[in-house]
Amino acid sequence: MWNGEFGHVVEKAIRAVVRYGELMGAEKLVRVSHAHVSGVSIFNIGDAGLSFIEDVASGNVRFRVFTTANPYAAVSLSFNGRLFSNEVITKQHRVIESLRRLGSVAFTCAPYYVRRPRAGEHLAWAESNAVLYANSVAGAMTNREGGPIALLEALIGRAPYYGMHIRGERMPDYVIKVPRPSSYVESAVIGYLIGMLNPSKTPLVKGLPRHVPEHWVRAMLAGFGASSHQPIMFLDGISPDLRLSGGLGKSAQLERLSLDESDVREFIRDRSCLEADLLVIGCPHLSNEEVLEAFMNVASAVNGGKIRVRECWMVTGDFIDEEILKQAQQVMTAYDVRVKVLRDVCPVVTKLSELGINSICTDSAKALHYMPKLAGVDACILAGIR
Amino acid sequence: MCLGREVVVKLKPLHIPSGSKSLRLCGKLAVIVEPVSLLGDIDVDRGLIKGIEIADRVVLMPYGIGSTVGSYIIYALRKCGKSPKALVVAKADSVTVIGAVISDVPLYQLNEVNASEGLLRSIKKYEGMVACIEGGGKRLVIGGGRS
Repeated sequence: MWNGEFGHVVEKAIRAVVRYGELMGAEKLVRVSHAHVSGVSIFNIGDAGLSFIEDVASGNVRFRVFTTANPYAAVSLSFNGRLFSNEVITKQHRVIESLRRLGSVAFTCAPYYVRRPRAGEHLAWAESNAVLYANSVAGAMTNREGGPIALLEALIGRAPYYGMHIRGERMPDYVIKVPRPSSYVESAVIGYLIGMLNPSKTPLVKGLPRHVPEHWVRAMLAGFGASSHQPIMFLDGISPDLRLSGGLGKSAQLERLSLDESDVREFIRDRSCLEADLLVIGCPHLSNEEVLEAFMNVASAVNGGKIRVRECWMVTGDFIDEEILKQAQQVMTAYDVRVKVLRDVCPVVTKLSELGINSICTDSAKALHYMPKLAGVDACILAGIR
Repeated sequence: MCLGREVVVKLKPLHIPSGSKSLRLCGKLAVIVEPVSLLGDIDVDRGLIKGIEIADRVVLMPYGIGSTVGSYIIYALRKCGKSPKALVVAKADSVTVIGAVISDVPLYQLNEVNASEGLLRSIKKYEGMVACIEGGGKRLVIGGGRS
C-alpha cells in the first residue's frame, strides 16, 4: 500500500493514518472489521469536505472493510412551506452519492444496529455515541476517531494501535455513584453531567438498576459523549471489560465521587419547556426496542395538550423494523397527532434556522448541547414524557 | 550563516510529499503567533490565516485547534491554489497533520528546545523576508538573500 500499488488515494490514506498513529504513539496498525465515518452533513463539512470526499470517490477505490456512515442533513424537509436551497440539497446528495460509491452501506448514528460489534473486535469508528456504545456496552475496541481519519481508515481497513485498542489502557480513572434514573431524559442528563464533571477522565459508573433499558443507556452515553472527550465509560453490570479484568477489584483504590439526584432534577428543571416550533425525538436514532413506546408517549403528550409544538420529528435509521414502525405510526394516527418519521438523517447537524425554525424541544442531552450551535435554534428539554 | 544575517531554525520533517524530497522550498515567510482554528481562522478563497497571506509562503504557526473538519480546509486551500509552500508547526496536532498529508502540503515541526509561541513571536519580525527549507527538511533559513 505504501508504494502506490493500490493507487494514489490509498497511498495518501495510509500515509495520513501512519503519521496520525505516530503522533498518538502507536507502534503499528491493527486490522479493523468495521469502519464508521462521521462528517457527512454538508453543513458540517462544507465545500471543502465535499470536494475531498468526491475526489476520493472519483478514483478507482472502495472502502476495504464493512463501512457505515453518520446520518446526513435533513435537507429535503420543509417547515411552514420553507425549503432548503437547491444548492444545499444538491451538495448534500453529492456527499451521499460519493460515500455510497465508496461502499457505505448505511447512514445512521447507531451503526451497532446495522452490524453489532463483538467483544474484543477492533473497529475504526467516529461518532461519539457509537464509539461509547461499542466500547462500553459491546466490549469492542475503537478509539474516538474524527471525520477525515475514519474515512481514511475505511480506505485501508486499518487503524493505529493505541488507546482503546490495547486492553491494558481500558481502565477507569474514578468511580462515580449515580442516582437511579427514572426516565430516558434523566438517563441522558446523568450522562451529560458526568462528562461535565470531568471531561478528560474515564468514569466507572455505579448505581444503575440491574435491568436498565438499553435506550436509557444509549441516552446516557450520548449525553456523556457531548460533554466529555472520552471514548469509554465503564458501566457496572453492563460493560464486558469489567468481567474480563477481574471486575471491580482494582477500583477499590480509585477516587470515588457521586452525582446528586438534586443536580439532575435541577438541570432538567432549569432547561425545561412545553412549547417550541419542533419536537425532536431520536438522538441517537430510535431503536426497534424503544420506537413504539416513544411514539405512544409523544402522541399522548401532544394530544393531551401537555406540550405545544408545530411539528414532531421522530428520527431513526434504515435498520428499523417496518412492522414496528407501522404500528407506531398507527398510534399517532389514533391520537390524531401528525408526525414526520425521518430516516438516515440528523436534525442536529441540519441548519434548521434556514427553514425559519427558532426553537426545538428534545429528550436528548446531546441534542440539547449541540443544536443551538449546529442547528441554529434554541433548545430545551422535554421532561416527564419518556 | 556565511553572511551572518540569516537566521537558522532547526526542523523535523513530518510530511514530505513524494517527489519533493530533495527540493529546497523557498517562499516569503508568514508567521501566525496564536493557535489556529483551521475551520474558523482560514479564508480559503483569499488564502489567509487570521488575515495573514499564506498562499505560496513558508508558514509558521503554533498548532491547529478545533473541529476535525479542519483537515478538509487545508485540502480546500490546496485545490484553490492557495496552500502554503510549506507549513511549519511548533507542535504537531492530528487535524493539521492529516490535512497536510491528504493535501500534499510539506509539513515540518520546529525542532528547537523552546518551540513555543514565544519563539514564533521572536521570528514574527522576519515576516515577509524570504525563507527556505533546506538540508532535506532539517533547516529553515530566514533571510541571507540567497533565495
